[in-house]
This record gives sequence, structure tokens and C-alpha cells, in this order.
Amino acid sequence: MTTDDGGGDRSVTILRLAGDLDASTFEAVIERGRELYADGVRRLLVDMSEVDFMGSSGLVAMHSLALILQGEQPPDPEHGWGAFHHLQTDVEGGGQPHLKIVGAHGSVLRALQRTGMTEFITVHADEQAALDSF
Amino acid sequence: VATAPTLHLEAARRTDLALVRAFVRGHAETTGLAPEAVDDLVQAVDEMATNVLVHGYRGRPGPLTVEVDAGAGELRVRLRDDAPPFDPRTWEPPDRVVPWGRRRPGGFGIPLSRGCVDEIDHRAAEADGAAGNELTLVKRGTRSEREPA
Repeated sequence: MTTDDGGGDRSVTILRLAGDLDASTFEAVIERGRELYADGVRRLLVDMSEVDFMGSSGLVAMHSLALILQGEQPPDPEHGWGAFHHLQTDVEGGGQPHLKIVGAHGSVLRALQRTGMTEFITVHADEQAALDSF
Repeated sequence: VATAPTLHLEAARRTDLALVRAFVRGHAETTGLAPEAVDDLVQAVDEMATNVLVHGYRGRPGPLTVEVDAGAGELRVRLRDDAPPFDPRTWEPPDRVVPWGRRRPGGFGIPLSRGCVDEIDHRAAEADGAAGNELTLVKRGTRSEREPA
């Protein structure tokens, strides 16, 4: 798990994940999201090119990252969230502008699509196009 | 009759999920299932095993047995545990009217699993007077023994 500056003038940080995103690894990703938010990151591109498996825990991590980046209190995956009072986006149920994904492929991409998460988090094939979309 | 390949973990924990996936994938890939179908089966097994370890055992280590049984044109993966009875077929998804930005993260695993396999069967081990579940995931489309590879 590494981070890169996305360059350009939009202040996008790239979080590059590698390996399997499952119930034993997803909490570290959420924790990294909290740290990045605390460091001032508000636009995050998650690079999943090197992720070969993503379980529902990984989907929880992606959903949680998006919520953290829009200023929600960090979740406790075991106990869930309280009500959200400071919503900036998504009142219509569409996407949000803080988190995007690039490089999701195979079963990882299918999991994002089948659960409808692509309605909320845009998935790009190309990194530059993803950066330009913020 | 040959014994079905079996992986038995006496004290399974979340870090064993990669081992469970590799075990199922390794056997499924020899049955002629299409690569995407193998991925789907592995996804469903991971979701169900995760449920057992995270919710059934509440994060404490517990026994988990995974058995891969190749039948005529189908592959059956059986998961056995000692957790309190839980039938994933009866689980209802959360209210999806709530927009994503206000939704509590979670509830993805069981619906995702349902879409990944052809059949899910559950049997609680109550007849034995003990806790425990036997969950069977069926994926069709394996190579029939009568057809050329």
C-alpha cells in the first residue's frame, strides 16, 4: 500500500493497493484513509491494478473511504455508523467526487459492478483519464 | 469411492481466508470450469467463510472444514463450522432506498454470493444436538466426464 502525488493542479493523491483485499486486510485500508484525510487529502484515486481478489470487506473499505473523504466520522466495521449529518454530496443517490478507482479488473471489477458500487464510485481504466475526471 | 479433497482448519481465523481461496481455486481449475466461473465460486466461498469467521465465531478462531466435491457437470464446495446456526438463504438485504452517501457500509457479501453460484444449500447441525452449519455452494458448468476436454 503506497501513495503517490497525482500531479496536476487538482491535488489528487493516488493510493496504490496490492494483493488480496479481504476480511484480514480491509481495515488497514480504512485506517490509511483516515490518516490521509487527517493529512488533508480530499481527492483520492485508488489504483487496484495489482489487486487480484476483492471480497465484500474490500467493498466496505471502498465505501468507507468515500465516506471518510466527504468528512464522515471513521466507521467501526463491527458496529456500523451512526446517522450522517454533514452530507456534502449524494443527496440524489448518485456518485461522489472524492474517491475514484482505476485499474480494477476481472473479478474485482465484477464485484464493484454487481453490488452497484460503480453508481457511487466511478471506475476508470486509464490513470490519466481518472486524474482528469476529478 | 475417492474421498473429496478436504481442507480442515482447527482454529481458522481471517488470515486463513487466502488459504481457503487458494484451496478452492486449485481444485476448481482442474474441473474445466471457465476462468470466470472459477472466480465466481472463489468469491462466494470467501464471502461465506468470512461470514462464519467474522459473525459466526465473532472473530475468535474456530474450526472450519472446506470440501471440494466434483460431480457430473458441477462442483460442490461444502463448508462446515461449529458456529451458531445461520442460513444465508433467509438473509434479507438492507434497505437500498438509502443513498450510498448515507448508507452504512456492509451487506454486500450474501447478495454477491447469490449471484456468483447456481445454488446455495444450508443444513443446521441441530439434529446432532450441537451448534454448527453445513453450507453447500454449487457451481455448474464443469467438464462432463463423457465429453472430451
